[in-house]
Amino acid sequence: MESRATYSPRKALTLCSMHPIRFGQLLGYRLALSVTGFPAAGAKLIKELGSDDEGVRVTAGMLLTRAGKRAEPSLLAALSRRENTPAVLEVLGSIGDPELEPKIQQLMTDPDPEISRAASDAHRVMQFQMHAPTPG
Amino acid sequence: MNEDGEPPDLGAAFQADDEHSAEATAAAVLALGWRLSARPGLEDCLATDELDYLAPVLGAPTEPQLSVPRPAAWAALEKLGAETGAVRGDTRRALFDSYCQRPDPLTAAALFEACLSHEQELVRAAAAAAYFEISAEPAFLLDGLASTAAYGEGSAQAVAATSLGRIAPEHPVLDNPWSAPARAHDPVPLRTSLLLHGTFARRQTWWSPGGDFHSYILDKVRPDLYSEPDCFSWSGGYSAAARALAAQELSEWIAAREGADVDLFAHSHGGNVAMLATHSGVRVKTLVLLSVPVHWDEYFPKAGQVAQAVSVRVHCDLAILADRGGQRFGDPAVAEHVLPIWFDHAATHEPATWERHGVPSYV
Repeated sequence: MESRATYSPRKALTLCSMHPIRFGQLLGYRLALSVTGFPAAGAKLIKELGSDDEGVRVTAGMLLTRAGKRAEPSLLAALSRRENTPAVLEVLGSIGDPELEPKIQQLMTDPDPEISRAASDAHRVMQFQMHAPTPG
Repeated sequence: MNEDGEPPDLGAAFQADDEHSAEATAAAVLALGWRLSARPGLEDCLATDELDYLAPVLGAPTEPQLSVPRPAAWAALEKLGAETGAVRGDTRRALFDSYCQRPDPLTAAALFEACLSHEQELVRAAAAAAYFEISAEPAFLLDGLASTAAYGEGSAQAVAATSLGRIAPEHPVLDNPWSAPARAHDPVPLRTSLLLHGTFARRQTWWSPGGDFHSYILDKVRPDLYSEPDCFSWSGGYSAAARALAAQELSEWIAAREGADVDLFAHSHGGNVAMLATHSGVRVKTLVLLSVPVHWDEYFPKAGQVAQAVSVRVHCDLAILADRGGQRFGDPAVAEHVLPIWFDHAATHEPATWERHGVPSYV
């Protein structure tokens, strides 16, 4: 049932929306963030949360989430300067650090509906995680 | 109401943050806002026992119709040692007690500020509606009400939409198909098909009514695709908890619409949400898994709950790589189709991809 195509690197690069080199860059930022907590690496990934390319956005969000606590200072700094705030809140909710709950709660009443909704969603997930822990 | 049919003590309700106390708190806050507005009719709308219950907040205000600037309310909160944005229950209780003893608008404003950061959305909505009556800066309250009217749930949404309709009947959110009035109606019975977005995609439009992929599926693939304004969405959070919560909510959402044997088109981790939901009773006729990261030990359909499963993906999906999920299911129960596209996680929800590669024939 599985249909497969022949790999053509040049064709692949023209067909994919996220260039593999860019993907490599993202992984590099993630590595730098995880190993050193290097703020510039976190800032780069946070900037990519606003990318027009869905693949880049999602990958940056996943990598930040996987960096966990290491990414928190960069994410909190982004919240302060209101950079990609809804996406940053989605990442913080995914990390699920209970220490950040008050910060997220604070944004649940933000006048920007996208921000208040994202904060409410993040808070709901954190509450669910705290009260009904799931594997993983 | 408790087992004796009595509402909770009002002071204790202000201190607590459970759902039961939130209803009492919201009622008191709304009544207080009405009282501060100096508009008549409150006594006519409530029964004697209800007036008795709310009496602590219904005393005549010392300075009626005063506009309170937010900094003044914050200063009153700070005097009690509270930080705006995360006010504790005992601070709310202290403000409630203080207002009962001396019903001045400044204390009421501080109490409303405190309730704006309440755990329960219902109390926040009620506080925004009540605060509007005395705040010198009502614009942010309108925005908050509009947000809850558009995106909130249950009683909170009803309170926000009703209040917004009273305060600003021309507000655009009341005409928006996503807004509260539409969601407050009885749910429309589910037909047969539903789209589910994936991680970090709730704010995208492709999956919602009017979005490009939704329109494509509706026009070309499934004319019975659910297209009501209250279509299902989840947080899009990237965690097991976010997906478990989403599965629970999806199951409840379908049950509320009397749905049975639905077709689900799910992208990315939305597919794992769908499979998880089958363990909560959701029965799926055709499950279409679009670029789903495979974590077969955690996410798999419950036996007997899915009649047919189809996976459509690209080669070496980079987002799945970042997720460290499997690219292929490798289970005979899932028919796999790999498109001649590389790396692109979004390609499987793009109408052009479906047209170019004949994806409708797979599903």
